[in-house]
Amino acid sequence: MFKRNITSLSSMRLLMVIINFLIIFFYSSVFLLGTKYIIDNNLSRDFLDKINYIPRNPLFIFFWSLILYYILIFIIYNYPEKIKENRILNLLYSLFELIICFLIIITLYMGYNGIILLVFCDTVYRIQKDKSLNWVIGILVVIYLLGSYEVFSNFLNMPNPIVYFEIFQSAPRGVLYLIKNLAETINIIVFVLFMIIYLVDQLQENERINQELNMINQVNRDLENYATITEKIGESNERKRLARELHDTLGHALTGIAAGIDACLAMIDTNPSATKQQLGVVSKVVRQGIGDVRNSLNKLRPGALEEKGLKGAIEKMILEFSSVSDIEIELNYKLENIDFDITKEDIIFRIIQESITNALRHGRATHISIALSMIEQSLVLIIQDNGEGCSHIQYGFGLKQMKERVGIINGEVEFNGECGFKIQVRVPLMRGEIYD
Amino acid sequence: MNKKRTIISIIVLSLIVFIFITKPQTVTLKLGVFVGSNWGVPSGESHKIIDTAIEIFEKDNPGIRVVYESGIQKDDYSSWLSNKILKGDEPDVFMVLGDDFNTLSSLGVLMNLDKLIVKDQSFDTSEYYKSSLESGYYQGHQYTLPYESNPQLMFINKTLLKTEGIVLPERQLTLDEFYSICDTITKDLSQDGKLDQFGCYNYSWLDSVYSHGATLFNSEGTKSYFSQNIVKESIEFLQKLDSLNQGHVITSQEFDKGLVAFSPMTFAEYNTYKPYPYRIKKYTTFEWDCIEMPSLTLSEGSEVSSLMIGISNKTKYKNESWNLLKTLTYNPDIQLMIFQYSQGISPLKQVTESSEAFEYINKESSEDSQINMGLLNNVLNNAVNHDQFKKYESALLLAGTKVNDLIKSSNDIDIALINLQKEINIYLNE
Repeated sequence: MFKRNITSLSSMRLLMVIINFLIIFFYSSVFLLGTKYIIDNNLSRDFLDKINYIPRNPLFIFFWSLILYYILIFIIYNYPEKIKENRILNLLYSLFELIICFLIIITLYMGYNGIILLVFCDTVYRIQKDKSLNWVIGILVVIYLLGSYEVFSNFLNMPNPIVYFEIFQSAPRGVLYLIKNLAETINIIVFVLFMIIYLVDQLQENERINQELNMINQVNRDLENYATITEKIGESNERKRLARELHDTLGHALTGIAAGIDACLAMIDTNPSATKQQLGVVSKVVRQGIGDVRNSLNKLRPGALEEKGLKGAIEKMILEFSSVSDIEIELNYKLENIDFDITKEDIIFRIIQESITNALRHGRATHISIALSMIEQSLVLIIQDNGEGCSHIQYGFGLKQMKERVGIINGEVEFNGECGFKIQVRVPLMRGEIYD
Repeated sequence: MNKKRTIISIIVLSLIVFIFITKPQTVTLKLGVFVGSNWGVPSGESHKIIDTAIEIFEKDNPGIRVVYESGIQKDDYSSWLSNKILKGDEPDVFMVLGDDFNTLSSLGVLMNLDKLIVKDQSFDTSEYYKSSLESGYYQGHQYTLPYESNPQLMFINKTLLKTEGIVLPERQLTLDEFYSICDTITKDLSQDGKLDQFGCYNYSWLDSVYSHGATLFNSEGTKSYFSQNIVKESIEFLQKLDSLNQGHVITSQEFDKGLVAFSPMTFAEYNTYKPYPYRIKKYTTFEWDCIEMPSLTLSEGSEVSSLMIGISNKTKYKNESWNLLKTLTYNPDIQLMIFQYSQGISPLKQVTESSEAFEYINKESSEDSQINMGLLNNVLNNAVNHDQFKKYESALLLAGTKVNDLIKSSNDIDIALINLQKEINIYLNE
């Protein structure tokens, strides 16, 4: 559909090129033959009284206007596709066409300005979808309206082209006017047809885009639903694992402890030494239980943190983000001689993860810098992105949770959305966590 | 492919260089002139002046050739020049007829000479008679220089005046004197109830307007002044003069037979039909001479018409054209030839006032009808120049028809002139 319209637009343009050629040929011929008629019929002295400026050599007008028109057509049909994307070059191209077009109009003493419509069509044809098109069209309309002899004869000295028609006797003059008006009218009709086709084409194009958008929205919704379901499944899996762990570790230990203590209650009066022994076993089970619980909790930590430590885990996360998006993340890690407890490591890791996600999702950032350093017995984490930021920060779930988490480890967090988005976290460290 | 292209471009370049080098170094100036007299009198030798001027110019300016199309008659000249202009092929330097001057200046065909005049130290406009120079003046700028001038004089039939016993004063006639002489002379000699001796033939409304010193238009050509009192007086004077003839219209036969005492006559006509010995035997039955045109208070001037030469605005050889123009209009030797081979007078003061010019004019005249050079000087110094704007000729033609109707009618002059002024103003501002 779209392709067919393009071809009909270009055939309309071809039609205009041909009609304009005929009109320019007609005008320059009238000047040429009119001058010959004047000279042959000895009317030149009277003719000089009728005009207000001396005309140029009619032969010069004839060839010059046709050469200029040929140049214009050459420009129209040799549009380099390379500059299609460059708005400025595109506008300059239209301007160049307009200058040539204007030279033709001036050469023909402003008798015919319909050629602007051809440049109009060509510009519309070339630029099609761009904001600058409106400007170009506005300028062209103004020039078309002002581009008449009556307006320009005030600035430029040129004879009135109509005088060349008036010299002929009424019969040939009538025929000349008929040809002139007919050709100019056809030109305008073709121009209007061109614009109609163009507008219809634009409407269809818009409709097509709307349909595509709807389809994309549908797919998006499906994906969202799927993600929720996956999340639910993951959650439920996690619960089951947690339940299994609790059952396997704490459950066994507690059952053993309960049974051991029951045995102690029964024996304590009769055989205190055996009871003592039994309590020693219970104590062992309790310790083992504690160890099991710790092991279970360790299993729930982020895998990367478990395997590679904080720095390695952050680097891995950055790599993962970088591989799935265009974002550039810079890490400045200066905490070589520090050993955190697990909770702090977890919280810092989660804050960084949340910040990168936020920067991507809300800020549309393309660059994030993360700095971890130690200043005066405190850990300082600064995350700065180059995204849109926000002048007024709204505390959603993510930021609230971040605040709460930092609160658990006695830290402070500050947000700043003025220049990109900046998160600054300060966590005091205990003496044992720093070593030399 | 590339080699071929290089060879072709080398050939084209060397051709261009070759053409450039072998291009003739001589400059060819085109001159537009006509043969015969500008003043409608027979003349056969006017081309001699042009040929001599070209000879002198080419000798002074080696490397410049001047060509002209010969054989163009005066009547065809305007049309010939217009054709050339329309084809964009006008000569570099060309003669400009009085009727064409306003049109050509307004269209921008003629070059504005102001800068050339200022730049040229050897050129001084005060060498020309003011009125002749002003013929080439359009809207404050000099566009042409006068080549030959032709003042308006008054023919007198000396035989008739002597018969009537009228002695003319040494000075110019006043209008009152002129009228009273006409009144005395107009008679019915044969006593048949019809007048057969008349005062003045061909005295036009413009002659009357000039002799009253009236101005008809403003210099921009946007307003006319027909309703002025002085214009009314001019018209009334003409009516008075006309009424002497009691409705009889004087014919040229009556004038040729010597039945008329006065008639306006240009110097060229005087020079051609000079009384004695008759170069052209036109007025053989009486003795005649020329005097200044009468005027209201002896301070008003008559009209002088001039043949002018200008430079094309499109010429490639501005300075060369200027030198040729100067040779034609400013060279005293060439200008002196006007008295020898043409009928007008030179617009250069020093030439017209020279003894050579006097000799040429009076070479073939009898002792008592020699033209007085003081008279010519007077006429030229007092001459007025009509306003120069594009519609001048057509506006005057339109006004002339109306005024001639008015003179013959008995309508109220005041109202008619107010209406005429309105009508002409509308035409001027169309």
